[in-house]
Amino acid sequence: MFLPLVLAIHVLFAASLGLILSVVCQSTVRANITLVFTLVGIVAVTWLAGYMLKPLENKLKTDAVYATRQGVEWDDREVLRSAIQMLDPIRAWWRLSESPTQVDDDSIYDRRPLSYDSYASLEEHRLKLRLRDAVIALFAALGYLNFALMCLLAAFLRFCRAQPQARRMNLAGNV
Amino acid sequence: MCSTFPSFRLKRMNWPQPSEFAPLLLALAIVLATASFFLLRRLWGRLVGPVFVYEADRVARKGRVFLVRVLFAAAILIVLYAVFPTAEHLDDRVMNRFALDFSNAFSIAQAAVVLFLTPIYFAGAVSDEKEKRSFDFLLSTRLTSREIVFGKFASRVFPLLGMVLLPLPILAITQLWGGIDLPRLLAGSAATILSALSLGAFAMFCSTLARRTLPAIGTTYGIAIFVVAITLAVPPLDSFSNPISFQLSVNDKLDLLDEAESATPVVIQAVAEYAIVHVVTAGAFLLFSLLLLRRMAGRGLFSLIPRPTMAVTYQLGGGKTLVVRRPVRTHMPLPGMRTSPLLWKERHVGATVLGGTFHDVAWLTLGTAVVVLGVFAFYLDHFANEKIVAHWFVTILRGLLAVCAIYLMLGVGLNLAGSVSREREQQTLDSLLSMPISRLEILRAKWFGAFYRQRRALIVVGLALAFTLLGGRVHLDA
Repeated sequence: MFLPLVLAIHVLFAASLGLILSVVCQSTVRANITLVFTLVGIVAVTWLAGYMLKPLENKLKTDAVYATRQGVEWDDREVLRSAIQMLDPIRAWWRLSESPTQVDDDSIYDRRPLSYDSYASLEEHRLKLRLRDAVIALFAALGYLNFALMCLLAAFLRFCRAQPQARRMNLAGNV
Repeated sequence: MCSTFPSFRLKRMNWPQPSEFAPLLLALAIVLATASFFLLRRLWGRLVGPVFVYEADRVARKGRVFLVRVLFAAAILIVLYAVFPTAEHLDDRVMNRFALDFSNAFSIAQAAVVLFLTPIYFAGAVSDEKEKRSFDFLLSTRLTSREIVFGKFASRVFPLLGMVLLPLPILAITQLWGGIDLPRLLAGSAATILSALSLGAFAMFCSTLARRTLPAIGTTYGIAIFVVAITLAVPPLDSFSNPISFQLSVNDKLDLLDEAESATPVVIQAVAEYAIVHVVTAGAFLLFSLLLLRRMAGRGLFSLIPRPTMAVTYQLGGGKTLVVRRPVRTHMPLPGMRTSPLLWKERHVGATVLGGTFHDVAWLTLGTAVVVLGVFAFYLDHFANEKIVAHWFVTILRGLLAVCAIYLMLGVGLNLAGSVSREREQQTLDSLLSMPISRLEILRAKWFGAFYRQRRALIVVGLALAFTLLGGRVHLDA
């Protein structure tokens, strides 16, 4: 349900970032390289941050208190890790395009409380976790939308201030 | 009898083993290389000319060199953090293992970063001048092609060497923890430098052929990845194609050595073999760049493809006919200009028949694949009850969606990233700004023009999205 919206926001983000870079940068190559580096950097940094938070997850996994807790996990660290992962556009699309009951090898969904012994409870638990991830992805996308709108506004203001070269030289008193 | 005599003499004379004099030989080679570099400085000066001085100065003053170095040092520190042992008691065995892991991880990270940056550094050397329209002025000076090519090449080699030398302080810190495996590390660094030289020369060659920098960078990456992928399939060749495979092969050779044997001769031999391949490659591409520099001055990469022609028959008087071969039109016929000339320009101008046909075929194939996969997944899930197969179809569909969406993001972003800056480079921005059109209208035309140029990707992404959402309801557990 959220996937088209999130995808559209990500495309809008890339487009507005490209526009502001085009207005600001002196050469096309610099604008292109900065854009590609920024997009690759977002993916790399979120992947790295998720990797760094992996030991926490493993620690949580062996935690007996965690295993007996009821309901959906809203542990701060878990939410933080999910939020960081959802900042990665590719991972967000992948997660949002999953079926709610699809069997997944991701360990997040397998870490269910031990008290759930019935199949229905497990399904409900998975659905809630996926809904949580979808909401987090939507909030992350809203962050991107905010940034995209700011980029658009900045590009417009900067472009409005741009003067033809002859006029700039006149203003500077060079002619 | 005669054949055994020399070996007897050799044994009696106690010749030093190769492992004993190899470090001395290496030190001597370094001293000789440094001395020759210093003594022959006038020769180097003549070879690279004044372009080297100007370009080296210009490249060094760019802020991005500093930024890239900081990022590289940060990446090396992250690698160090990732492989640092987490055991509570750090004995010799653990630290030895750490030294090995770190030297391997360091070599791989260094090679990956340096080779990733090499095309960006080198591929703009000549094509940047063409984009800025200053290349004709450069050619009309008294500078020779050799001075231009070698000067631009050498000025970009030094920042890359700086990148290789940059982690030395970090490596010095690791000496406090028991040191690192120096022969492996030196072998990896040497292979990285040699690979950067050959890849840089190839990027320079692409830059000489290309009219714009971005195609030069893309071509360099594409062909380099293709060559490495091909050589990976042929095990004897893969250790010569890239520094990572080289490092792994050197590791294998060093692991086979006894503790008493020295690693230096093995490393020197491996590096020498690697150097021959890459120095020859670099030399060949620099030579090609030299030869083609002036010949390809006003032409692009696609000019190497012969221009297609077609036979046109003219009916002359008296029943005679004349057959003439005329070049086929390579640009799309432009549609009529309607309400907004700016939007018309952004949408249609510059589209070529070759590019348009290629995109049409590629996106039609992808779109067909998406529709077929989606329909099959839906049918298998709802009518044939083949849940597992349907699940795999949907997974492939999701992968296609991700690929198409990445292309769309990059396509729209790159298109818009070149929208205003290209006008500035081609010196048409002033004319554009002087026109009686509001700035908002200009930006709006560029914005919608970029999305229009990606219309094929937009359609396929929409289809993939619809079928993924439709097929995403596959209930495997049901």
